[in-house]
Amino acid sequence: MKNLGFKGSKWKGRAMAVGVLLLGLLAAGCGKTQGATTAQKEFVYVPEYQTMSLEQSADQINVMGDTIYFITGYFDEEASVYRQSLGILKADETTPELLPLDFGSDFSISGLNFNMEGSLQAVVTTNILKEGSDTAEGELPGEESEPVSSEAEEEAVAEGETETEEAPAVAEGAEAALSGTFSDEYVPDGDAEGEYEMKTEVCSFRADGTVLSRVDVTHALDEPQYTYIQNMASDKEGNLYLACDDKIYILDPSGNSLGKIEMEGWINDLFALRDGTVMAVYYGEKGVEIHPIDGPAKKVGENIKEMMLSDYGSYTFMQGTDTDFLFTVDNGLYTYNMGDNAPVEVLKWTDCDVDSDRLSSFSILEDGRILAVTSFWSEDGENTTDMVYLTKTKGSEVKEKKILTFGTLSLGYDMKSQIIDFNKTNQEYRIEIKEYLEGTDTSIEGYQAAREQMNADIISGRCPDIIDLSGGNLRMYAAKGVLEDLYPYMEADPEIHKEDYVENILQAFETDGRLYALPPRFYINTTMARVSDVGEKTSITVEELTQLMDGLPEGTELYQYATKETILLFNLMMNLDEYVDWSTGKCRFDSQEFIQSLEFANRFEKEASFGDDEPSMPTKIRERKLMMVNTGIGSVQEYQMYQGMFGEPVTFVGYPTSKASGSMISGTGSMAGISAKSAYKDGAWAFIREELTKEKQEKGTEEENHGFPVMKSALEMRFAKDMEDSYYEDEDGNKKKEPKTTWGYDDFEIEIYAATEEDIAAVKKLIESADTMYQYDEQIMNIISEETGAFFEGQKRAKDAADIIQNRVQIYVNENR
Amino acid sequence: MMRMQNISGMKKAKMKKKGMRKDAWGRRLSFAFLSPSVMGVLLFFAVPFLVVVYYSMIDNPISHKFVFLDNFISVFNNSAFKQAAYNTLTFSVVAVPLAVLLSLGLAMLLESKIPFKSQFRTFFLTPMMVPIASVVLIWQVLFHYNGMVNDILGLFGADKVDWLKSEHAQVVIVVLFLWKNLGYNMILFMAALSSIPKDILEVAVLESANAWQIFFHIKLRYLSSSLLFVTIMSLINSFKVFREIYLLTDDYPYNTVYMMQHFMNNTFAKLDYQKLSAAAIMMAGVMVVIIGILFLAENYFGRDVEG
Repeated sequence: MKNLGFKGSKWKGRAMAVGVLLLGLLAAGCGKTQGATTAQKEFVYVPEYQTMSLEQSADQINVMGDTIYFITGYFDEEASVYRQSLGILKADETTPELLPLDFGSDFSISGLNFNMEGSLQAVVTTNILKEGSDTAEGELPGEESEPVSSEAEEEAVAEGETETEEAPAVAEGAEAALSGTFSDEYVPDGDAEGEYEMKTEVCSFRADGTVLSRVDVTHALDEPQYTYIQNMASDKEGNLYLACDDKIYILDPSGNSLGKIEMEGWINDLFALRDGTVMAVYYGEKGVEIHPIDGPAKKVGENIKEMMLSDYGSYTFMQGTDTDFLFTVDNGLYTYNMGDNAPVEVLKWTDCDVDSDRLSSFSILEDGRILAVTSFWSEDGENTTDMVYLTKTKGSEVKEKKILTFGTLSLGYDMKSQIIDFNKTNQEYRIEIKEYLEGTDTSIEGYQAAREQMNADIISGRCPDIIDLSGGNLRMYAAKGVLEDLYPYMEADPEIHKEDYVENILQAFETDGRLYALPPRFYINTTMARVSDVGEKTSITVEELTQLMDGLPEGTELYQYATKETILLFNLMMNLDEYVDWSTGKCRFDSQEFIQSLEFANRFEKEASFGDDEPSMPTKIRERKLMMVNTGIGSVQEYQMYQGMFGEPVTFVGYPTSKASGSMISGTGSMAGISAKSAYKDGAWAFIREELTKEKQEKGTEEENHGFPVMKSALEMRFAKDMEDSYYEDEDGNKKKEPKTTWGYDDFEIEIYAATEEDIAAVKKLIESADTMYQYDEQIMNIISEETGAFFEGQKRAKDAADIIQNRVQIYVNENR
Repeated sequence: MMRMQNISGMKKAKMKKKGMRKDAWGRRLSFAFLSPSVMGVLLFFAVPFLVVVYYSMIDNPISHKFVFLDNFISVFNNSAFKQAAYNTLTFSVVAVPLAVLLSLGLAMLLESKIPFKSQFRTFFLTPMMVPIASVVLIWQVLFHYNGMVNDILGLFGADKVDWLKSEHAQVVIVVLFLWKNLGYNMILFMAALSSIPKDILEVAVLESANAWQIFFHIKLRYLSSSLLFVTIMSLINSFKVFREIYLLTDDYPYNTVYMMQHFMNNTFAKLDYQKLSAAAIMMAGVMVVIIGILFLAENYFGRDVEG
């Protein structure tokens, strides 16, 4: 030490300092998440919502200046005419002015936009009855004909007493009646082409609805009877650009054809910039392309690659006021000027509580506010059009809310909608979305990189407060301690109680007695078969299936489109826990059962064949050419449909297994967990619990949400609704039973009436019997898929393939214990 | 006289003080020059190592609960870890001596007067120039179940062997390792052989020493430092053979070629940082011991030929 010229104490001091520095670095890397608030943001967009008072839907919404223009219409039953109007709504108002449009008896409007003079223009397509046609008055091409079955037959179907004529003879002992119909050969709408002719015009009209000009462009189109113009724009000379499929027809202002340009893909959008340059958007081989079009010269300009943010995202373009144009893709609003290196992001819609999936139009108003017009169709057919005015405000000037981060690879539409609803209503917390798969890289490598980034964030302390588990990471995150157990939160919650939820569903989603996430709804993966074929079974073994298959008549399939791989996959999804015992670490892939499963799977085709003239699945069932149907039952009505399809009593045998039930539970709807490192766990629970509340669980109908609710009372309520009849009043005021809805599968259609007690009992039995969650382990599946290839090719014996699988999976299992 | 002494003493004291100042300045300057390297070492070696030590002693990277040696015990008892350690050890014990001995033999052969020396040298160096992905592709073509080796064996009526998914897998990997590394080792040995003083070899020949005596008593002594280097490099490369195995057989290969790197790579992918860290520290410990032994051996055998 002396030789080096160091004094002992000084050296120790320096070493200590270095040590402290290193520990500091360590601590920085491992720190807990600190909560953030909205006040820390420089700017936020504050939304103000208004709902348009309009009974009908608003279509083709365009914003010009501070005014919203749209087309709306309704069917006048008295006159049997569809009446359309131009709707005009000034900013900050809610009641639009409706100006009736009259372009003839049967017309449709498309491509509403503004020309360079500021007048509205649109393509008007009119169906004109040819002289001498014998089509009944008022019946239009494509209009549905009267139902074939008589009222008496309908009643009988509802009561479950008779058979329809189309159905073949039922098996002996079958109790349930046949219902549903098989359609005859499909008759396309165009069959009436000989009776009607289509006229296509470009009309321009004033903002008060007065028609300024009507230019007939029918003659310029290749096949006027089949050409429906989907987009339209005009350049600074007033030339018209009409897009249909991959063609752009170019006409001068008088309607004389200047030529036609064929693009490389189906044209998605056509719009004009501020200077009158017309742009065409289509999906090319490598994603979206946007090209300027020189109509008179019939030239297509270079693709503007600089503005492409997402290869196959859903782009919507609008002419800009201060910039060349505005566009939205995925979740962002951007501006772009021709020649710029990249677009400028204005905002993210979810940050402003706007659901981009419902976006109809958008614009930057003269006062700087951003107007977003959203349109939403509920399942019961009601349309709501909302105007959202977004005002840029300093973060410190808005009510402070704690920020929760929602981490996801890719945000699902239902989760997006839930987050927006939460942000609109919750006064204490606000959720911000962190989407790891955002951007252009949608390759497998991109997906893996996004997943690694999300995992790295979780580990390093930048963990999102709420983690999306819809992608199937539940088991891994639970095992690593990433997630909070939800049971303590349920116990502390005044409304959510564990005992209110279906027990076997809770158990299926538990890990070691803890619940890390619960989907709002579930369905049962199962296989249906006729009782007359398999008996009253709730499960079936591989041996039994093998025997059944041996006895099948020529030309009869066991499962539809089954391949070696899918059959093996079914077996593994059902029986993975039989082959891998995670508690002892023992694998049984070299067992006789697994070898038998391999041999059974090997009896199926390597690839499914989809023949053009192949009968539909329901037809095959009716003709007894198909024994079993793999499906997911998420409602009683689905069960009713399948029962109608089979035409006799059915049972749920599920997937091959030696267990008591062959059916599996699958979650549906969005599913998320709370990060164990979140600074706002209560806020995260406030979001998670929302979908589990009585109100939400009981609210959704079968049509709105696929799957059974996880809450017992909501499930019972759903069953009670399924058993309710639906009535209508006839002309004499008598109450008559009517179908509640209609379900269809390929060429099979069935009207659904109230479920019987037997139907409900069968579905309840199915739910209660299922106690296994859909099992899938990507790594094990990959190994099995790799090793069974040679066996399925006939190069290896089943035993040899099974031995290698056993060897490799055992390593995987050992490593993970 | 006293005054003279005082002046002289003061001068000395001043000079000493000046010297001390100079020393302090020199130290500071050397620190300044050293600091980039020191920072680099701290940032890229010391800190990551400490992070690994930290992770090895917590329950998981989320809750950060201190569990001291639990992870080491858990990893040590993990049968996959044991399998990986056994395979890695077996592979190294077989492949490293083979890599050293065969390359030394080849170097000796190419030192002797044989025809086509230059062509042979190029031939053995070629694998170093081939990218690893291509090497793996060649090996797959050769040793796949439907590969060339089985086709050739089939000509003689032999049954097909699943080379990469059977007990034979490690043989294939050893052959691959040797094919890839012999050339480089051979060049190192050839350089070392050419640096042995010619006069000593001539004296040995004059004194009637036979070839074996010359090899064992002279050449091997002079080659000791190269032997150590080649052995260490081969040992390190034997741990890095994972790359080839991974490309050939994926994350979870047949158990005979499941290596320590597989264990670490897979635990990293599954966020089991605590297991990964404990395994890495244990492996580092074993490497330190092995390399220490090699250094001691080199010191012992090569002490009388080193300057």
